[in-house]
This record gives sequence, structure tokens and C-alpha cells, in this order.
Amino acid sequence: MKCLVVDDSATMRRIVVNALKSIGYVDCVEAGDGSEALQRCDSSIDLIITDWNMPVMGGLDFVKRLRADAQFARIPILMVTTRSVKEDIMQAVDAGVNSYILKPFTPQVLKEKIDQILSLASGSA
Amino acid sequence: MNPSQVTELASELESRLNLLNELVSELKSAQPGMVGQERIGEILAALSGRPDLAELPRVLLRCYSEITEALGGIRLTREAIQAHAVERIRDTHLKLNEVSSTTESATLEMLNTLDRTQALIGSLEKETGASRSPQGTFDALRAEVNLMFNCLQFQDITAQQLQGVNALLGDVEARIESVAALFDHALGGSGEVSSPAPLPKPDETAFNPDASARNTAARQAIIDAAFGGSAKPEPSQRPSASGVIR
Repeated sequence: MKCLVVDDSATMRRIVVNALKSIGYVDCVEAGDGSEALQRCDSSIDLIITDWNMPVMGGLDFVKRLRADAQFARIPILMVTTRSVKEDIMQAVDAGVNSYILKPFTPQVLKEKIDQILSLASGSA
Repeated sequence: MNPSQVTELASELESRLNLLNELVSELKSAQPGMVGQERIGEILAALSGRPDLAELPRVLLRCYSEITEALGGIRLTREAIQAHAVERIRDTHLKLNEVSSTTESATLEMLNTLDRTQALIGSLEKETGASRSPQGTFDALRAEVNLMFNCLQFQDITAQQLQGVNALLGDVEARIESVAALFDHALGGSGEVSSPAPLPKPDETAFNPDASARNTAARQAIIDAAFGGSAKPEPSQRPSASGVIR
């Protein structure tokens, strides 16, 4: 299982990667913004965890770009963000985000969401 | 000179100018043949009857002096606005950036320490062996380290809050500069005061000024409900009301 972790905060990337490792996901790739994430995205990626607010290319634009590409249209995407405005959540849903976690999160919540979206993804495959 | 004295001076000036205007109009409208020596004599008498008109240049000079003094006051006020508001905003902006940077460095250092701690726990586990040390002890240690990792999420949240405050300060500075620019118009071209270059405008898409660590569990529960558990919701399950989930 290979995860792409996208966040402009180096601190958050390390925390997410550590949380992923603690629940068994050891193969992680990191990117500092949506644009860099697009470059790092390939067919080996099984799961994407992305922040919303980032310079250059934000998480929402990144998800839209990814979903517009048939190659990456089905990769499960988990958004981890501080944004909790209802309109934002609706935008994330419309863009193609599969699940949504508020910061600060716990590894338990992260595991729960990952398990759910992966099981849905495998069920629909 | 206080405002009432200025008003009085202006009123005096106006009455003299009115008198002068009246006399000139009378001279203009009179038929050439009608302006006899007698009429001219009357007008001259009227003018000479107002010897205070001779003071007009002095009054105008006083006005000029008062206006110059007022402009000096405006200049001082404008400089005070710049020194005590704009420059203090800049200092605060720099201090907030420093707080953000220091906190980030310290957090990264703590993350490095936690990484090393995790590696040490792994080494200890290998060296000690499961027979002499219960596996539960190492797992408990790892759980504690992971808990500390998660606590460090505060840095991302406070950094976004600080960026929000910095953006607000930039906005306040721009507004104060606009007020100061109004004074510049009064000072005229030669009296303009140079302003420092504006603060770089932050990328407002790169942070969330409403970032908060409060009530996360409750807000997450509302989001989960909006997502229909955790999966991507169907349109009918999407949040219907507008507003903020707090």
C-alpha cells in the first residue's frame, strides 16, 4: 500500500506519515503542494492524503485535476484539513474527495477513514 | 489662532471684498457721461472711508501663515500615523513571523527527537528480547511517542492562525496608509511623506484563518454525518444548510 501525503507543512507531513506507519502503511511519498503532488502521482499510488490550504496549487484544485485524469480518477482521496465550513465540505465532495478529516486528528480516526474508503473502493472495483 | 478667530478673519476679508466688488460694479455700470466728478468723489470718499482695506495684504499674509502652520500640523499628524501605527504594525508582523518560524523549528526538532526515540525503542526491543521484556511495554512506549507526535499538530494550526492575523495586520496597514494618503493631498506635491514599501500580500489560499483545535470531535462527527459515515455521500446526503460547523 503506497500513500501520497500532500501538505505544505513539513510538520504535518511528518505527523501524517508517522500516523500512517503506526497503523501499518509504511510506504509513503510526500509532496509540498498540489502541483508537486501531480508530478509525484503515478500508477503505484494506492491512497492520497491531502491538505486543502496550500500555496501554488491547493488541495481542492489538485483533487479536481486528478479526477479529470482517467488514470487517477479512482484513487481514494482523503482530505485532512482545518476547514469545517459546510460549503467547503460540499465543494470537497463535488471535487471527488472520498473522506474528510479535521485537524488535529488521531491515528485511530485516520485508520477508520482509510479502512472505510479502501473497503468502498475495493467493493466498487 | 483658533477656529473662531479664523472665521472672524475670513468674514472680515469677505466683507471688504464685497465692498470693493460693489464699488467696481457701480463704476462699470455708470454711463460715461454720468460719472461726473461728483460721483467719482463720492466713490473715492467711500474708499477712503474704509482705510482698513489697506490692511488686506496683511490679512492675506496672516491667512497664508495660518495655512502653512496648519499644513505643518497635518504633516506631523501624518508622520505620527506612520510612525505609531504603520511601523508598529510592521514590528508586530515581523514578531509574529518570528514566533511562527521559531515554533516550526522547535516542532521539527521535537519530531526528530521522537523519531530517534522510536528508533531507540526498536533497538531496545531487539536487544532485550520478548522473553525478558513484555511486548506490551514497548507498545505502550510507542503509543506514548505517537501521542506526542499527534500533539505537535498544534504547530500547523497555530501557524495558520498567525498567518491569518498577519493578513489582517496587512489589511489594517493598507487602510491606515489610505488615511495617511488623504493627508498627502492636503500637503501638496512637495509635502508628500515617503511611505515604506507595502508588506508582501500573503497567499490567502495557503492558510485557513479560522483554523482551530476546538471541538474537533464534535465537528468531525457533523462532517461524518454529512459524508454519510465516511464514504462519499450521495447528493441527498450532502449538507443542506449553509453556515459553519463549529
